[in-house]
Parts: sequence; structure tokens; C-alpha cells
Amino acid sequence: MSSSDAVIINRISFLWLEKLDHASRAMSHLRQRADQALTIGVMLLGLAALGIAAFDLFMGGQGHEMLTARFWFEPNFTAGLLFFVLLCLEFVVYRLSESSRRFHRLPKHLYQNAVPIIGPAVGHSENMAETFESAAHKAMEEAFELAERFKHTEVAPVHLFASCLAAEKPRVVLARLGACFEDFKPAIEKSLSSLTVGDGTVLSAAGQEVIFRAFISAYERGRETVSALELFQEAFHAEPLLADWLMAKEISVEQFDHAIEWVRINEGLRSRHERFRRAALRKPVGDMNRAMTSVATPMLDCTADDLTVEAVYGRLPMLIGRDKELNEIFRSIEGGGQSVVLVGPSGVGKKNLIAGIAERMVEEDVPEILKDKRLVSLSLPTLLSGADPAEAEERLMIVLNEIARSRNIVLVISDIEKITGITSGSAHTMDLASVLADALARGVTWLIATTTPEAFAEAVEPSALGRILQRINIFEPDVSETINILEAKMAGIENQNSVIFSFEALEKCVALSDRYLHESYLPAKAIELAQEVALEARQKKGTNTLVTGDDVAHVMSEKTGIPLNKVTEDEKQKLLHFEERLHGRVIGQEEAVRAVSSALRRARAELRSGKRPIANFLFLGPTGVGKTELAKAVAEAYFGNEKAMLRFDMSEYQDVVSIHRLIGNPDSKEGGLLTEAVRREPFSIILLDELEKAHPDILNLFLQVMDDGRLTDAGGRTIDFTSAILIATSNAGTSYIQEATKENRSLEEIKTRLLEQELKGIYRPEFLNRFDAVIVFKPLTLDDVRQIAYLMIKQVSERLEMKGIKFRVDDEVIEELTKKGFDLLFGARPLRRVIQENVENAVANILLAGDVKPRDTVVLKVDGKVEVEKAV
Amino acid sequence: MTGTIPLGTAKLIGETIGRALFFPVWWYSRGLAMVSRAVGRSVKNQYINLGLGVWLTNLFVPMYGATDIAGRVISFFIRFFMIIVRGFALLLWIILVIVFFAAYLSLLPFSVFGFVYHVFVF
Repeated sequence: MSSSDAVIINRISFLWLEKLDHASRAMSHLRQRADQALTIGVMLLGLAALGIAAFDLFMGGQGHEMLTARFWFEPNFTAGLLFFVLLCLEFVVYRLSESSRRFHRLPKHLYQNAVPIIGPAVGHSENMAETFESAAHKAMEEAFELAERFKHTEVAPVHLFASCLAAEKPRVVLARLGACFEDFKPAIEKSLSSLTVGDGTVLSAAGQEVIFRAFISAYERGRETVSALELFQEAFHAEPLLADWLMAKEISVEQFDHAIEWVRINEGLRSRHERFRRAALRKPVGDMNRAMTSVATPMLDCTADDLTVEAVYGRLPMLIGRDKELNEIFRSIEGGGQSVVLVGPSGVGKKNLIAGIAERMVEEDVPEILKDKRLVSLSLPTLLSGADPAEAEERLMIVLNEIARSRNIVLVISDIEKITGITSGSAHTMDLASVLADALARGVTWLIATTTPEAFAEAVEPSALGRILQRINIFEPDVSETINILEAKMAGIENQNSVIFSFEALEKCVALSDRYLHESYLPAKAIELAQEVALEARQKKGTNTLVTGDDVAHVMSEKTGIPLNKVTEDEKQKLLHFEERLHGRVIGQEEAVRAVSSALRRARAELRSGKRPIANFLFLGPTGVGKTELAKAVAEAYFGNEKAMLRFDMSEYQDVVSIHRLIGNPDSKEGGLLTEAVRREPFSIILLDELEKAHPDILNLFLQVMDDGRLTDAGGRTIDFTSAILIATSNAGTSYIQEATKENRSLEEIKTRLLEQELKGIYRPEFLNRFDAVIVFKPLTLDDVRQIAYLMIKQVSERLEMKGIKFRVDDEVIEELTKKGFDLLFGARPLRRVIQENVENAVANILLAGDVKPRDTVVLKVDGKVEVEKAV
Repeated sequence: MTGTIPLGTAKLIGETIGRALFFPVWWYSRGLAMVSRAVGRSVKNQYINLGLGVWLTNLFVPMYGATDIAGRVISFFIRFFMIIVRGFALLLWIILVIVFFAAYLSLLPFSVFGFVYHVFVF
């Protein structure tokens, strides 16, 4: 980029033509002072003249002479003074007007306008500096001052960034991000220290580019002037070191840009509100339109709300975005004269869209046929309450008749499906929907209706209305759009609760509600969460407090039971040593323990994919080797309770009908055992025992769970499985595992053979592929069983300890029990039986005989003999 | 450096004097353009406020939904009357605005003349 470059818009070249070196700045300041002195001087002169004239007139008792022609026509000094005052006044008007005219406005950015380009100046040139607001201009001056202070030869983007930090709007951005000047200081100092030192300071090519980009950014946003915000943003993007430094504060570039957008949105809302208030003054608030063509509508007034009047009084929310949908509605009404139905799930903003139409109608910023009209929302409950179908039909006819005669009404009916199916006679007589459809077909009015996709398919589409209403889909906004919507709504939420949201909190409201609240839609769920968080923050931390991301995570954790707060030191230690905790209960099976522990650590560090369960594991192996025990151990070690596990014995789900027990019966529309359990406790372990016994259709169900992390129940609710750990156990391939183990084959070899051959007939390959890990549990060795024996004896000892009785077992006894309980086929199961028969039974007999007192020690000897050592 | 300070001061004084002398030029150039725009805006706003356009476009549309012949005839005459009344109101406003505009045009020479006449003739 060269110094002769400019931003060219429609053949006009915008260049920075203002000198900002020390002498020029000093001159500029002096010029401003001189200008102010001139204006104030003339003002004082005028006031002095006015004082003298007033003194002359009123103290001399000749005030009344002012009203005579003689005073004005005959030359006299006092009248001359008054003319001088007038001249001074004109001069002051001239000076004030000139100083406020300091800014040139940016050319208007229209859709068809040429794209601004940066290149060598051509054609007519204008001074870009005059389009900079005073704060932006001041930042430019301060950037030069800063560079000169450090004796830098060039003004770089970092100078511009640093100087912008003092301006008001960038300060708001930093406050929203929870950052301050001090956070950037090291980065700025580091960047400044790397610049060349020398004599004279000029604007660097990168600095010039920042200014040009700020200018283009302001132009493309349709702004009239360039603010410090544009300069701040572009300077930030031009200096990579600043972004790195911000990342260290856990603030991403996207978050920085969003926070800037937040300030812009608030600014835009203020000016839009002012414009709207001016326009609202002209909109009539009664029945009568400006053209005086309408008639009284008493029945309609009783059963409907006038949305245009609500908008005039500022009671409706402002619509953010949704231009595409608005244009589609207007196109339908204007082009084809067709009524529309907005189809979208509840909470996606259908009502807000209608409020937006009302607002546009108040401003008369609508197609010609919608001008000078009222937007009236018919309340179906009011219309239909206490009426039998015949009366309801009569009421609707009266309302439609009033609308037809009035001719200035555009009708809104929310939840239009409620009108279908109400009929006054037998099956083939007209229902309310047909009456309404007939009126619309005759062109009585335009209808803007709303419904959900399910209700549209079920009730509206098959009815007469389905043929006459044009469907307009209202989709859920994405996360980025929702952030913008929430930014616009935030001022209201903050004012209501006297709290201030950081950008992190706002972003978390959107991200967490999107991720964990699956039964409602964006933006409604994000707005509701923000309101809840604001209320809780006010109650817990008091007014004028800053709401942080942790506050949002805390509320969300309470709602869902999922740990979302930052990982505490305790939890960190727990997670880092998770394998040891699991091995306290599960003997051997290192691979399985490691896989489960790693999955939990990944989940807590938020490194996993958010669209699948935390982990999907298939535990393969013979019975009694610790598959179920490991699941229980995880539930106890991490979820705090062995019962935080949803256990499903798949042998109970062998036929296709049992699918309804899992996800609910379509007839009752109630959730099933699985879906309801996960809905109530999304953060849990789902254990599917003996998976090979389940019906193949049920396996398909879990295929979807493992893939998408969600399942729709019979009631149509989407259940979120992304916070669950899915563990399936299976005995399939057991005989092969046992044989291979005897042959001392490696685990890897066993697993490959299992997946490629043994499991082929039982599970489909795509099903097996969905598991994060297929873990083969080795048959237990004698050593494993010995350790399990120690564990089991410890459990007996703990139970006796609760009764105050001590329990001691010698190593020879353990050895004896191990030998008796060891079975390659059944794992640790025989051991449990052996312990029951040889230990628990013997101890029970002694206890029942009353030979043991608290504080006594029960000693188990070889051959099942039990002795009691009496306490001293 | 020593030379630049008096040079700058002279330039500054020159500029300030120039600014003062620019006053009459400004009054009939930028000032006039500004007032013209304000006048135009004011007439346009008043036209919208009075709803004259709405009344004109609906001249033949019956009022209050009275679509019978009598209703139509009465509506036409009432609308015609209202257009005349509102048109008259707009005319008055335009006259007022023109008076203001003329006052602006003559204000500067008038005050200069008044000042010179009273002070120097006196």
C-alpha cells in the first residue's frame, strides 16, 4: 500500500488528507481554541451590547419606546446596539453550525452500490478525516502522539489500538469482555518495543490500511461517520500479538468481534427507537384509519388485540434480523395477495416476527396495500369461550363481517390449528376453518397465522385453510444469530434486574441452552435462561453486579444436574487419579479402566464432540469378569452414587414391541423407561446389560443415540443423550475369548478376531463402529481372583464393623477361598458363592448364637473354622 | 523552530480573520442550503402530518364503509371539503415557512443596515 492510495467508492477517492504530526496537531488545537475564542468573544460582545441596551432602555424608564416606530426609524444608539446583538447572534449561529458540520457524512451504502476498493486515487478526492467522529479523530491524534513519545518512525496498528482504548465505546467492549487496559499493556509494550526508532513519524502502510478498513467497515454498515469502534476493531485485527494476548485471557477473536457487535446493536437500537417514536406519532390508535374508510368493529374489539396500537405505545418487543422472513411475508401478501401461515416450533420467534410487522406498519415501512391498516390479533380462546360450535361459528362470522366492512384490518391468528375441527353439525358440515378459508378466498382480509410444524401437518394442511394459506417456514436461528438477538434483548434484562452481563455470560446463555435444553428452541430458551441467571445473580450477589459465565454455568448445572462449572482443584485431583479409584473396586482390566477414565476426563475438559454421548463403550467378555462392576464403580466414583446408573437388562427387550417400553407408546404419547430416565437425569451412566439379547430394532435405536446423541420419544420430545455415558455389556464371543486366553493370544489379536468374525452374526458392522471403544475383558487369573477375594472379605469386614465387631482373616484362608472360587469359565461369580458359604454363613451362625459381642474379634481360620477373640 | 512560531501565529490570526470575513459568504451558501433543506423537510412533514396524500388518494372511496349511493356522494363532498381545509392548512404552513425563509434571506443585510443606520448615522 502506498501513500497515494485511497478508498474509492463510486469514483470518489477518500484519502486521509489531514496532517497529524506534532506541529499540525498543535496548530489544530490552537485553531480550535481560536475558533472557540472567536465564538465566545462575539457571544460576550453581543451579551454586553444587549446589557447596555437593556440598561439604557429600562433604567432610563424608556422601555415602552421600543414599541414605537420612532425608536426603530429614527437613528439612535440603543437601536443600533440591538441590531448589533442580532448580528452577533447570526455570527454565533454561523460558528456553531460550522463547528458541528465538521464531519462529512459517509456516502450512503445501498444494496446496489459498488464495492469499495483500495487503490491509487482517481477522480474527485475527499478528505476521509472529516468522516471520523471526534473520538475516532482524537484516537488518531493520540496514536501519533504515542508514536512520537516513543520516537517511532511509523504509526503502526498497535499505536492506533492503544489510543482507542481511552475512547468510550472500546472501553464498553472491554468491560463486556471482562478485560481492561492492564490486560493488553504487556502485549502493547512488547509490540511497541519491536518498532523502529528514529527521527520523524509518519503513518505506516499497515496503519493506513487500518484507517481504510475502518472507513470501509463504517461504510458497509451504513453508518454516517467512522467511530472509534471501527478503528479499534481493525487495529486489533491488524496486530496478531493482541489476539494472542486475548487468547491467554480465554477470549477468542470471535468473542471480541461479537462484543463489538453488541455495542453497535445497542447503538442501532437507540437510534431506531427514536425514529420509531417519531413515526408512531402519526399512526392513529383508534378504530379509524387515516383515510376514514373503516367502520366500528365492536365484536372484533372484544375478541382481539390491536397490535399496531400496542406497537405505538411501545409495548411490543423490537425485532432483530429476520429480514428474509419479513420480505417473504410481504412478498406473499403484496404479490399474490395471499394469506400466510408461519410454521415453526414454539420459541423460534414467530410472535416477535408479527410484532416486527406491527412495528413496520406503524412506521408505514410496508408494501402499499398494508399501509394505513391495523394489525389485529384475534384471540381464539376469547372468541370460542363459553360458546357451542354453532355460536362460535356465528361469532366468527360477525368478526369476519366487521373486518370485511372495515377494510383496514390485517388479521393475525396465533395457533391457527385450534380453529380446525370445530363444526356445528354432522361430519360433512362446515367447520370454523372452512368459514375462515371462505372469507380469505373472497379477499375479505389478509391473514397472518402461526402454527407448529406438527400441528400444520396434522390439522392445518388437511383442512380448507391448508389450501389457502401460504406456508412460510420460520427456522430456529443459529447460535451466532441468537447471540445478536440476545445482545439486543440484554439491555431490557439488565435494566429489569439491575445487573450487568459480561459477553462470556451472554455467550454461555446461548451455547449452554443450545446444548442442554432440547425441549425448547432458540432464541426463547436462551432469553429465558438469561432472565433466570440475571435474577439469581441479583439475589445472590446484589444489584449492579457483573454476571459472569460461571453464574450461567451454575444455573444450568442446577437445572440439568450436569457439572458445567469450572473444574475445581478437588475434582481435578479426582479425575487425574481416576484409574486408582476405579481399581479400588475393579481388579485387573487395565484397558477398560483406562478407556473409561480418559473418556470422563475428555468430557470434563470439554474436548469431546458435543453431538454424541460422552462415550459409548462395548464391554465384551465372559461372565463374572467385572463388566457391570466397572460401570457401577464409575457411577460411584464420579457420579457420587452407584445408583446414578440407569441399568437396562436387555434380555427383557427381546421382542420388537418392547421398543415402546424404552421410548414410550405412540398412543399414550408418554415417554418410555429409557427416555424418561435420561430426561430426568441427563448426566448419568446408561448400562445396557447383555446387549446381544436385545431385538435388532432396539439396536437400531441405540445406533441413533450413539450417532446423534439424541432420541425422540413417543410424545415427540427430543431427549438429549450427550451428557450420558453409554456402556453396553455383552457375553457374545465368550467361548472364543476363553480359548484364546488359554492360548495366550494378545488382547489386540482377540479383539480383531472378535470384531471381524465372532461378532459378525450378532451385531451389524455399522453398529459396532459407533462405539468409541470395544473393550475386551480378559478372563480372570488366579491372582486377580485372589485380589477380589481380599476385596470381598474387606466388604464383609466393613459390614461387621458397623456392628462394632472386628474381623480378621489370615492369608492362608484367602488362598484357600481363592482356590475354591477360581473358575476360568465363570470369573469371579463362584468366588462370591464361596465367600457366602464359607465366610458369611459361618459368621452369621456365630452372630445368631450370640457368641460375639461388640469389640470382639471374629477370626476366620482354614477349613471354614471361626474363632472369637474376646475383647479385653 | 524560532521562525515557525511567529509564522504559525500569523497564520492563525489570518485564518481567524478569514473565518470572521467568511460569515456573509456562509450565510448565503452553506447556511442558505441548510435552511432550504430544513424548509423542504418541514413542508414535507406537514404534508404527511395532515394526511393530505391519504385524503387525495381516497377521494372517491366512501367513508365509514357507507357504500350506498348517498353515502358515496356525502363521502365525496366531505372528503373534498376536508381536502380543501387541509390544503388550506398546508398552504398557511407553506406561507409561514416562506416568510421564515424570506426572513432568513433578509436578516443579514437588514441587521447590517440597521446597525450602520443607527450607529453611524446617529
